[in-house]
Amino acid sequence: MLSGQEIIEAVERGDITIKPFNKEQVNPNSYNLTLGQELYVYSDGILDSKKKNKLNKITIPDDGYILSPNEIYLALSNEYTENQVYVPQMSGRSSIGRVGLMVHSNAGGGSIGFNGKWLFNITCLVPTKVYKDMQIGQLWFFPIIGDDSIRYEGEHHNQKKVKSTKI
Amino acid sequence: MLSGMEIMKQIEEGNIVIKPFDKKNIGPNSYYIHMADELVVYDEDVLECKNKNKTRKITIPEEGYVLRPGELYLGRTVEYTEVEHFVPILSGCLSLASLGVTIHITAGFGDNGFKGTWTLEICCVRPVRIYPNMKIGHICYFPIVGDERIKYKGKYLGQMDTTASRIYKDF
Repeated sequence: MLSGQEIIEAVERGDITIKPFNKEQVNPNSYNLTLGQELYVYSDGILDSKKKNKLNKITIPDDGYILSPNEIYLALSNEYTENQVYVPQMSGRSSIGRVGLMVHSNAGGGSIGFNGKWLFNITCLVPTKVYKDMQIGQLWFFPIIGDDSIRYEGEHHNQKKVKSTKI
Repeated sequence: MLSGMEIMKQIEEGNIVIKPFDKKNIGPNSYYIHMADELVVYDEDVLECKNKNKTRKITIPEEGYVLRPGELYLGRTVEYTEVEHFVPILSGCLSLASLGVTIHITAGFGDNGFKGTWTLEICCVRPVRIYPNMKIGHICYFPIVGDERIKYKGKYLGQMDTTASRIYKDF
């Protein structure tokens, strides 16, 4: 796993792209991601894995927005990243976990070659007020072992907008 | 990731500190950690990221304490840990996960340089009775690549008690 200083140097030599990049968001071995202003919720009562489920947009006002339990909110990071050399992994920050907020529902592993903003799948255990631009997630970077010619070309490649899940 | 034997070696060299330490808790590539006898719950209808939230402490008696679904419990490890030159990662026991209990909500990665007990973010799907000192998870260690000059100076450095979120310090 890359150290914080190594993340800075990888950004400088172009092995990692993070835009916007702010050195204050670098940790000993990770980089903090901030929450974009838009949340999306599914409008259908029952989600269907086989269909494209409709989404409704919520804009987080300056004085924050209260998330409700039993709802899943999709949101993007403000940061756009390119990961051509290292394997990125995303998860919530410790302070976020300690209020019961989850920002992803699976392991949070990214793929080498993934370019785009990071999709947060946000759920909470109790009603919780969140704010736009708050530092909600973090990225870790792992060196990859072996030939890395198989590259991410998945459904979220180059994502800059929240899209309904495609299964 | 370090093997169990390598974790022991790094403890001898002082790069990893685990207190109390017991060889029987060394796994093939991790160290088993245990639940302390205290839980902290928030005493608020809505949790605020910008403000400090009120909390209440619960002591887990010897006969156990029943966790309820829909509630967030913060707990802590019995073990105090320090680490240099490695990134620690905490993960829950498979046998607890099989009961629908999660002990952390984030990826469980710690920071190189972190010192303290580990605060656990506990929730359950069905009511579950837990006990003090039960094995609840393990810590694995990853090697770090590159210059380590950025040290952990975070909000939780040196935490000994179960520590509620200090996210309000970000604002």
